Amino acid sequence: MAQLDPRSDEALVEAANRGDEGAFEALYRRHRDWVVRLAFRFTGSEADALDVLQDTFAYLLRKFPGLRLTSRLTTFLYPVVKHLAIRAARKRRQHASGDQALSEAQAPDAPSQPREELAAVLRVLPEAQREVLLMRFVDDMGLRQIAEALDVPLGTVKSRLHNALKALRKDERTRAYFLE
Amino acid sequence: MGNTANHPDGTGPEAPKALSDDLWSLYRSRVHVPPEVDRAVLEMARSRFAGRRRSVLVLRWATVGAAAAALLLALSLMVQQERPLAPRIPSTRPEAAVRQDVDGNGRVDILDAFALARHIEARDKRRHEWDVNGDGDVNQADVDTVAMAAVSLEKGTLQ
Repeated sequence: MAQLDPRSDEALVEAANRGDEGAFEALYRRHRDWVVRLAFRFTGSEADALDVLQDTFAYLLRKFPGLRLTSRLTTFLYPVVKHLAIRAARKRRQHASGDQALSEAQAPDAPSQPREELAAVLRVLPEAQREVLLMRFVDDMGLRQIAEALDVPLGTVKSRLHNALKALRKDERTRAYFLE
Repeated sequence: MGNTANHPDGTGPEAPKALSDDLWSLYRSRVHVPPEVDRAVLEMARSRFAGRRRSVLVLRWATVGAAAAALLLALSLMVQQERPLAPRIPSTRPEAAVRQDVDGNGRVDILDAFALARHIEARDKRRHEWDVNGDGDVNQADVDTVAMAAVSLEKGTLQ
C-alpha cells in the first residue's frame, strides 16, 4: 500500500495544478471511500456508486490546471457526487418501480431493531433535514462546510439540523436515544 | 465511532452518542472498490497529465521558435537600417536610372543588381531595359553596371 501523503488537500491541489500526477493520486486515495459511500447513500446501488466514483474523479481531473480550492475538497465534491448520483439513481428508476428504488436509496437495511426503527423514522424525515443530519453525523462535516456544499445560509443548516433532531426526539421509536 | 464532540467548524445542536453511532452503522456501509476501478481512474489521470506535459513542451518550443524568429527579424532590420536607404529616383529621371531600377521600386540599390543577376541566371526572357550598359547584350556586365550605380548613389552622386 502506498504511503499516505502528508500534504493538505490545498497543497495537493496546488501540486496537481502544476502537473503533479502523484498529487492527484493522493487526493483520489484520500477521498475515494468517502465519495463512494456518499454515492451509495444516494443511489442505493453498489454498481451505480462505482460509476459515480469514476465520474466524480473524471470531473475533478478536468478542473486541473486552475482549480482553486477555497474549502475542503469534500465540500467541493459533495454537490458533484450528489448530482451524479441522483442522475444515476434516476436512470435506474426508469428501469425499476419508482417507489422501490427511491426507498432503497433513502435508508439501508437495518439488522438490529433500534436501527430498524431509526431507519424507518429517517425515511419519513424531510429530505433536506435528513441530508443535513447525515452530512453532520455521518460525513463529519461542519456546519459552515455543509452550508457551502449545499449553497444555503448557515442559519438554514442550523435550522434543518435542529428540526431533524427535534423530530427524532419526538418520535416514540427514537425517543430513547435522548433519554440518557 | 460517531461524532458527538463540538465540531470545530461552527457550533450546532449535538446528537446523543448512541444516535450518532447508529447513524454511522446505518450509513457508513463499506462499498468495495475493485482494483480495476482504481486502475481506470489513475490511468485516466496519467493520460491527462501526460497530455498536458506534451502540450507544455510544444508550447515551450513554439515560444522559443517565435522568439528566435523575432530576433532574426530584428537583426535583419538592424542590418538594413545600417545601410542608408538609396535615394528615390526623381520622377524626371534619366533613362539610365530607369533601366538600373530593375525591381521597379523607385530606387537603384544593390537589390536591383541581385534581381538582374537572378534573371540572367534563371535565363528569363531578356528584356530590353535590362541592357543597362547599352552594349546590346544582357549579361554580367549589366549587373556590374547596376551595382556600381547603386554604390555611387549611396555615396550621394548620381551617375
